[in-house]
This record gives sequence, C-alpha cells and structure tokens, in this order.
Amino acid sequence: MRIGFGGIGKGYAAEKAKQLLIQNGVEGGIVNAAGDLTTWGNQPDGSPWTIGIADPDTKDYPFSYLNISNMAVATSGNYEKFAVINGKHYSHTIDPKTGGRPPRGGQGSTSGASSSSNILSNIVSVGNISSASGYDKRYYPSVNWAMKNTESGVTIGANASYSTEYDYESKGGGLNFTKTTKDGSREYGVKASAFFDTWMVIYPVELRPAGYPTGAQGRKNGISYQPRNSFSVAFSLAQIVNRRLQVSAVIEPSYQEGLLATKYQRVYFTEGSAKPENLPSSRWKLPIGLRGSYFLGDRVILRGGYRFYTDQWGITAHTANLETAIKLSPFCSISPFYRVYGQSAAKYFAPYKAHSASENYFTSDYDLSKLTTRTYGVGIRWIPEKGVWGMKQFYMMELRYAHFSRSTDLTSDIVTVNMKFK
Amino acid sequence: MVASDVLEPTSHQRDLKLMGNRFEFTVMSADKAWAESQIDAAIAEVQRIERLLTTFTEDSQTNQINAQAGICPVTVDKEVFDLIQRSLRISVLTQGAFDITYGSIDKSLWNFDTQMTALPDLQTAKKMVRLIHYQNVLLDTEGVLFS
Repeated sequence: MRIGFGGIGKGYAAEKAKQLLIQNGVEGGIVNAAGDLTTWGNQPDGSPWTIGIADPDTKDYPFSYLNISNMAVATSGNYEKFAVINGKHYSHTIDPKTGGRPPRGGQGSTSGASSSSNILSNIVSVGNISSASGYDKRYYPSVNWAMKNTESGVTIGANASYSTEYDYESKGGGLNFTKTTKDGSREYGVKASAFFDTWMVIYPVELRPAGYPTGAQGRKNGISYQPRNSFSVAFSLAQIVNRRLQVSAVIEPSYQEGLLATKYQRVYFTEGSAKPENLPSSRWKLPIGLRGSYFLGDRVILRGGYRFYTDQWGITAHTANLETAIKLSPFCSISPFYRVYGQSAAKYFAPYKAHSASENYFTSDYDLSKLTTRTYGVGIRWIPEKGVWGMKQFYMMELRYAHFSRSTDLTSDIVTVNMKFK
Repeated sequence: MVASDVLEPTSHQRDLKLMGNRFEFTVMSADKAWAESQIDAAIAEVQRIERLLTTFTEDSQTNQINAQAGICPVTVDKEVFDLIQRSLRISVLTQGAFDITYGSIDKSLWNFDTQMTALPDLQTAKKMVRLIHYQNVLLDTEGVLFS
C-alpha cells in the first residue's frame, strides 16, 4: 500500500501559506492553488473578493460568480485535467473502490466553501458515494370491505393494507364491528388491527459493525431485517345526546414488539462515546379519547376533544383540540382549529451526552422527550352542487393550512389539499 | 503628513508552478517591495510542504512511510501526522470516496495527463485497488505504522 496527498495537499499548502501571510500582517489576498483557493480581507476598493467559475465550454469566460471573502473554495472541473481515450473524456478523479475514473458525463466545475473544501470538491466529482438511500418512494395500497345489515344495525368490515419504502415494509389487516341501536342514537364499535412490519437495519457509518453492509442500493447483501409488530383493539361508543349534542369515547389498548429503536440514530454518552439508539423490544400503550360536537344553530358546529395517553416507557400525554365549522353557504364551509399537546419524557430519553454508558436503554430522539406542541390553522371545504368547477365527478375539494410549533424548536407550516371524486 | 503620502494598497501578483500545479499568489499592500517579500515567504512555505508530502522524491516523509509500509512504523512531523489524521477522518465521513491510500494507482494505473492512449482493463484496475483502504493506516502518537 502507498499513500499520497493528491486530493488534499495543495489545498493544505494554500491554507498554510495564507496563515503565514496573515501572521506577517498582510491585510488581504488570495492564494490560488490551481483552483483550490483561499482568500482573506477585501479587494483594494473594499469590496469582497469574488470568484468567477469558468464555463467548461469556453474556458476564458466566467460561468458564474461567487462571493468568497475569508473563505476557501475548491473547484474540481473535469475540463482541465483529463485523458481522452477512444474519443471519451476521463477526468482526474479516481473511484478508490473500482480503480476507474468517472467518464466525463455532465460537465461541471464544482465548488464548496469551507476551510477544507478541496477535498469536498474532489469527492463530489467521484459522485457514487454510498449514502443510505439515494431515493425513496413509498407505496401504500389498501383495500376495505364492509357489509351493513340495516335490520339489525350491524356493520362488519375488514381491511388490508400494504406499505413499502426504502428500508421499511408494513403489512396490515383489521376487522371491525359496529352496532347501531334501533333509534339510531347510540353506536358501539370494536376494531382490531394488526401490523406486521419489517425494518432494514441501517447503522451510522462509524458505528457499523465490521463487514456490515451500508444498506445502499446494491450493498444490502448480508443486511439484517428485523420485525416490528403492532396489535391494537379499539372500543368505541358514540351517543347522540340530543338534537344539538353528540359525544363519543374511544379506548384503544395497543401492544408493540420487535425492533422499536431506530438503529441509525446515534446516542452520545457523557464520556464522549456513541452507540446506536437502543430501546426495549416491547411497549404497551393506552390512549383514551373523548369527543363532542355541538350544533349551534344551523350554521355553526363546535367540536372539541380531549385525549389521554400513557405507555410502558413512561410517557403520559394530554391533547385538547377545538374546531369550529362555519357554514358560509350550503356548499362552502370554513373551519378554524386549535390543538395543544403535551407529553412527559420517556424514561429512556436524555439529550446529547447526557446518558451514562452503563444504561441498557437510551435514546436522544426528541419525539420521546418532554414537549408541548401547538397547531392552529384553518380549512375551507367546498362541495358545489354541480361539482367543483362544474365537473360532476369532482364533488369535493378541501384546502387546509396549519401552523405547527413544538417546544423543542420545531416549527412547520402544512398545506393540505383534499379532493374527492365520485 | 500630507494625504498624498498615504498610499492606497494595490494588489501584487505572482504565479509559478509548485507541487505540480500552477499557484497564484495575490497580496494587498501599499508597499511593493514588502508585498514581494511576503510572496517569497508564501512560496517558501508551499515549497516546504511540497518537500514533506511529495511522492516524487525518495526522502519526503510520504515516501519514507511508503517505503516502510507493512515493515515498521515511521516517525513523522506532527504536521504530517495531523494531516494524515484529518485525511482518515474525511475517509470515514465519505465512506472511502476520499482515500489517501490510493498511491498504488496514482502513477502506474492512471496519470493526470493527456498522454494516455488506452484505458486500464477492469481486471487490472480491480487488482490494483485491492490495497486501497484507509483503515490500513495505523496512527499512534509514536509514529505512523502501515499494516
């Protein structure tokens, strides 16, 4: 084996030369090592240094400019150092895994901006670095079946679902039963669901066991697939109290087993070491929810709900939500809503570098931390008599905007469009 | 002092071939002679690093390491040690896309020029990269060891 500093040496030398000049009191300048350049200070007129990146096709004409004062920039064009063999261009970067040089495909000069950017630029042009997933698509078909006996008020139904994405596959099924009383004022329901999931175990690169595959496309040979199964039974009761008020309650005990930890999440311990997240292989959950709808006149519906949740990992949560639906016309309604959620931390949660390495279970996933979230927004629902935009098949359209904020510094804005076709 | 005595800084430039590449130095100063001496100092610094790292002379620290690869550890300057350590960290982060142990193919398999007329065949390329792996560089505070 032999080493060489071809990818890093000249950028390093440029950086060292710059440091020496700064130390000697030079107020501004550039060291350009064949495209790996580093700058400090400003131009004579006080304006920042800019870089023009050559157009690969017309070398002397800049392709674009970048402000680079006090930065390092590396360019790794494939138009200057290359070999032409059988009419094909081969650039100066080598793939260390195959010994080959990427043929010059899409032309380009790349640039980065940090103090060691020449390495970055050389790597970008190798271009087939294996990351965990180069793409991800999720497919989730589902089928539902239901049969209602109007005489007895009994509905039975079944459903099956399938979902797949890069590292996760889920097969689900469920059965449900509801019975409505004769006068239609009360409904009992039971719904049983089961999900049989499989998770491809991907580790962070530095915590990967020796010889364990990355999980990238074509590098899955020998990778571990772990199950995660979930079972739940929901009991529900809905009651029409009077003309204006409806209430419902749901209790849904559930159980999960298998790989419940996300193995590609790192946990850093007090003394600086790191391990992939580890959590118990089973978990009981118990949510209980209450809902009410109140019809205030003909145009306004007030909906409110409260949900209690507790689980075996020590999380207790409360949710309250309020929504008002205002009918603007027989075909259009607008509904502002507000939701607040609070949970206690799971007993296995601690932030970065707060876990002790002697613990069995540990996570730094903030989904399992103590947190509060607030969501508010508004939805507009439109069901015109002759169909949306006069299209009979397109009978409903709903637009919903929500602003979400979480006490752990996460905010998001969500726009949802819901369309229904007959 | 009158205003005309205060000279505006201007840029002073020089380019030359160093480390097999074209280096260009630009220094801002109102004093031309001083600027030129600073460029000299910067060139000397690059030449010092070139002597440490080059694979084109036998006595560079890089080639001392290469000569003793698999035989015995080589003690190097802290600067070279730090640079190797930094390179290995980048190898870890890039899963080997950046790797300083490419030395076996640098001059023999591929050359950075337009003189090449044929591609190395796949088999030869595969055979020659088998020794490339950054994890084969062992560092300890006493020196650099190759396994």
